[in-house]
Formats: sequence, structure tokens, C-alpha cells
Amino acid sequence: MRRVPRLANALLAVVLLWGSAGADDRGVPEVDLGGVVTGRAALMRIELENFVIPGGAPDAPKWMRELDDVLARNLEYSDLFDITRWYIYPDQPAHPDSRALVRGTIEKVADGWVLRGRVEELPGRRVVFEQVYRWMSSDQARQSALRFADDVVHRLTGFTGLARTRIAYVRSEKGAKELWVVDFDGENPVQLTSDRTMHLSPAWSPDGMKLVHTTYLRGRPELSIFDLRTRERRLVSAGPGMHTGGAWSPDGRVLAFSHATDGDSDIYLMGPDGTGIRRITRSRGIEVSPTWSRSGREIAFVSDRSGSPQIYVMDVGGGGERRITFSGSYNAAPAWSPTKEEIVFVSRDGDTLNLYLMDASGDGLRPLVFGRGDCDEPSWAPDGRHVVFSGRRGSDRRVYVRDVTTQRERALTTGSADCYGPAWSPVPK
Amino acid sequence: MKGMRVVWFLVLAVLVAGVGCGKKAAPPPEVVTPTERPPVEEPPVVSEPEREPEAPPLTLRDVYFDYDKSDIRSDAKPILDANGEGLKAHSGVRVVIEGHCDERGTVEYNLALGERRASAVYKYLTTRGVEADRLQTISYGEERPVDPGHDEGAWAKNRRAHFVETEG
Repeated sequence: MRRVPRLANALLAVVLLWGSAGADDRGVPEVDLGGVVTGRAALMRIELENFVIPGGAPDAPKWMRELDDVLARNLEYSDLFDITRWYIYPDQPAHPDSRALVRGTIEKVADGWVLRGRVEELPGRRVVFEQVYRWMSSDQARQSALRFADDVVHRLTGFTGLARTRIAYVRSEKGAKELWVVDFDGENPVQLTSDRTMHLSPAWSPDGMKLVHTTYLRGRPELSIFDLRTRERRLVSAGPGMHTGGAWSPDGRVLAFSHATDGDSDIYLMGPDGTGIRRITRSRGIEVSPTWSRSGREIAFVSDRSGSPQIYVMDVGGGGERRITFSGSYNAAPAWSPTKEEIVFVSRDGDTLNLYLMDASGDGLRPLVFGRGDCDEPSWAPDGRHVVFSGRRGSDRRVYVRDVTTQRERALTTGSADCYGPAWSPVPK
Repeated sequence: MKGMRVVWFLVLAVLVAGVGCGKKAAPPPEVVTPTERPPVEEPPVVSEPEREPEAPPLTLRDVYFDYDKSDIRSDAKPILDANGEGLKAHSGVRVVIEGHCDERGTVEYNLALGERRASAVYKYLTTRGVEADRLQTISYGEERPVDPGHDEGAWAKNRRAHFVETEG
């Protein structure tokens, strides 16, 4: 594909999206992907009744009164529903095309509380889902609401719910860059490191228990694994040169990463314990940003062997190397979808780094985030529908979540500190 | 000797404590640093050591790079030549060559580009006679800009190799 048509497509997409935003009063955005209108991304209309609380809302503690807000927010952020909320559900739905009513009752039991969650079909109110969520202390209540949200998403749409996923990222303040993790809905930001040094580029293990990341703890970029349960750190690739860009294979047995000696970086593989290191690229120059195919048999990466950064794919066993980006002079930071043969990546147009999608073959190039300031480090949600990335907008550098289907977007981090390098966790078991 | 030092410390401590709770009018004492020397009762014959003609103080200037490039620019060569001569004249000094990038690129690619820039400077200096074991390279990618701006003026300053002296 040549440059001019691509840019034209991007602009067309932006114009169409812009146009559809105000024109559609039903809140169902029209989706355009790369100049081909693929139709409406229909949001399912659902209605949500506030949870029934023992003794009534006014006297209930704050966490109890806000539990249905947690549910509503997480359903909203699934980008699958158009939600109407009721204090008490009336006899008739607000919209004749509403498909489901979501309800819940909180009850005190001997050793804690339960939430009886329920989904009723509309019209008719036939119960299609019912589940009891139990917790011992009030700080665990939120987890129950998140589980209920994920169950509602899965029961009504078949998609993987993201409410219990988290996003790891880098937060920069006063020159220190520390690792943080935040819940899917932007709640509970937690600082993982306090080393007053630089940590970069976290990536989750497939079991969600560890983060591999780049650390300057010893003054140079080395690869370390952070255990989220024990908070222990272990250097896995260290020494002179550069060690960065750790990426876990889908089965969790192999780490791909980038290592430079004498200024020449290449892609390497090793076990998560740092053993069995082997180099899989041989070219002179820069090779960085490995990302695994969902089968674990191929790796996409960035190489400047052609004279500019471009994306290549190769077999993990070695060989089969092929370039898949030919448009533009700066294509980098690929992330392979966990659900289909699709890659999101960074591409420069003029002075701006935009986000694009393409098939893993390199075909079907289409813009995802265009003309919104520099984007970097896209990472897929486990549902293969959402992408988290860092964006530089004005003087702020924040982490944003975008739904590929509806193009809805929200800022995940707030405040004046730069936040970037996001990585989306797997769904906890 | 060790015993003498302890005594000297005690004397000092008493003196300092005395001043600390003494009259307000007492001027603050000169800072006295205990040394290996014994106390004053045996004054040594002090003779200034012959001063060698000193090399000028070592200044290592930054060099700059073109966008997405790690080649040593022609305007950087005289600077690196001077840095190299300075390093040869100060044979005890070790330096870290830091490689930096502007913000226009991905974090990961810029980390590799910074490493390549630092490495290009390393190669330039070692081929001109600076001992390799006195130099090491560290890439900071785009993480440590000198100019926080978002224009070409800032970017040009941030695409640099910077020298940091470490202990000899």
C-alpha cells in the first residue's frame, strides 16, 4: 500500500467517526475501519436496578451503597452495553429494545455478606443467570461486584469480561520511574516499586503472577522479574549492554527479549529463570520489541535492517523471516492480538506517532488512533477488543484504553505525573 | 598511633561540645578535620611538594546526533577528539558514555538507538587510543531529556551522547 491512500483512509476514518459522534443520538457509534464501513457496532441495551440493601440505603455503609456503581461502571467500560439505571425497576423497560435487566441483593450472613446477582431477560423477565457471590470482609465486596460484571458480560455477549483484569504501567515523578498497577476501571492504583530509579516496559506472565520489566536498579538497563505475590525481584538477564523488551510466550515457558552488545541489538530467547539463552536474529543494527503470536510459534519484532524501523515476523525456531510493513518510514512497537491474527503497532505520519491495526500477514492496514498526539506501547486486552496504550497529548502523557470496535476511548490514569508503558494482565483464574 | 588518634578525637569532641554550650559570643570554630597526623606537639617540617605542571581540568563535552541516526556527525568529531585527548591526559579517569534520544520514537526502539549512539562514541574514542577498559556505555533511550520541550530545538539537544566521570 502506498503512503497517500493510507493517509487518505486515516483521514476519512477520522472524518466519519467525527461525523457519527454527534449525528447519532442513540449512542451507537458508527464504526469505520480503514475506509470500509463495517456497520454499526451495536451496543446491547440493558437496564440495571440498584442493589437491594438490608435495612435500606440511607443507613448502609458507603462500600455497600456504591457496590452497584462498581457493577455499572465496569459494564459501561466493557463497551458492549447501553445502560439505563433505575433506583427501583418499574414494570416496563425504559426502551422497548432493552434485552436484559440486571439486579442484585446484598444480604448479611453469619460469616460475612453475599450478593445474589441475577440477570432477567427482557421482555418477560425470565431469569437467565443467577449467582451468589460471598465475601468475609467489606474490602472484598468490590471483587464480588467485579465477578458479577464479568459474568454478566459473558452470559449476555459471550465475550471475555475484563472487570477483574489490571493494567501495569510506569509512573514518572521527579525523574524516578516506578512500576504501578491499576484496576481495569481505573480504581486502586497501587505502587509496586519505590526504588527511585527507572523501571520500564512491564509485561505479564500468562498466569498473571509476575511482571518481567526493564530495570536500572544497578544503573543500566537489565531485565528483572517482579513476583506480585511475594514482591521479590530477580534479575534474569543482566550485565553490560542493553537488556529490555521482555515478552512471555503464551505457555509461559519462554521469554523473548532484546539484548545489545557493541550497540547491535538482537532478539533472544531464554527460560524465565534466565537459563538457556539463545539468539534468534542475526542482522546488524537494531532488533527490538518482540511479541508472540497466539500460537507461540511466531514472533513479530522491529528491525531497522532496511534503513528504517519496520516490523518483521519470524518462526520462533529460527528462519522464515519476512517484513510485513512497507508503508511509512517508522513502524514499531507491535503487539499480536491474543484472540486473532491481528497486530496493533505504532506508525509515524509526519511528526506524529499513530496507532494502526493490520492482519498478521501485513494486509488490511487501518488506523486505530490517529492525530491524537504521539502514541506508544500498545498492549491488547485478553478479549482482543480493547487496546491500552500511552498517549502524549499536550503536556500530559497518560495511559488510555480504546475499544477497537466502537472506537470509544477513556483515560485510565489521571494527574500530572507521566504514565506510560502499559501492559494488560490476563484474566485472573 | 591508633591510640593517639582516639585521644585526638576525644579532645576534639570535648572542644566542640564545649563550644556548643559555651557563651554566645564564641565564634564558630574552624572546621577541623582529624588526619593521620599526630597532634601539634611534634610539628613536622612541612615542605610543599614540587608541583608538577598540571593538565587542564578535564571537560568532556556532549555530542549530538541526527534524528534516528547514530553516525558520528562531522561537527562532533573535533569535540570527541578533544574529549579523547582529555581522557588520555587524565589517565586515572573512567567514564560512562550515556546514549540519549529525543522523544519522537517508541520507548523500546529509542533504548536500542541510545545504546547504538553510545557505542558509536565508544568505538570512535577507542580507535583514537583511549583504553577500552576506561569506558562503558549505558543507554537511557528517551527517558532523560536535557530539554523537556516538544520542538526541534529541544529534540536536537536531547539526541546526544553525554559523558559522566566515575571513580578512577
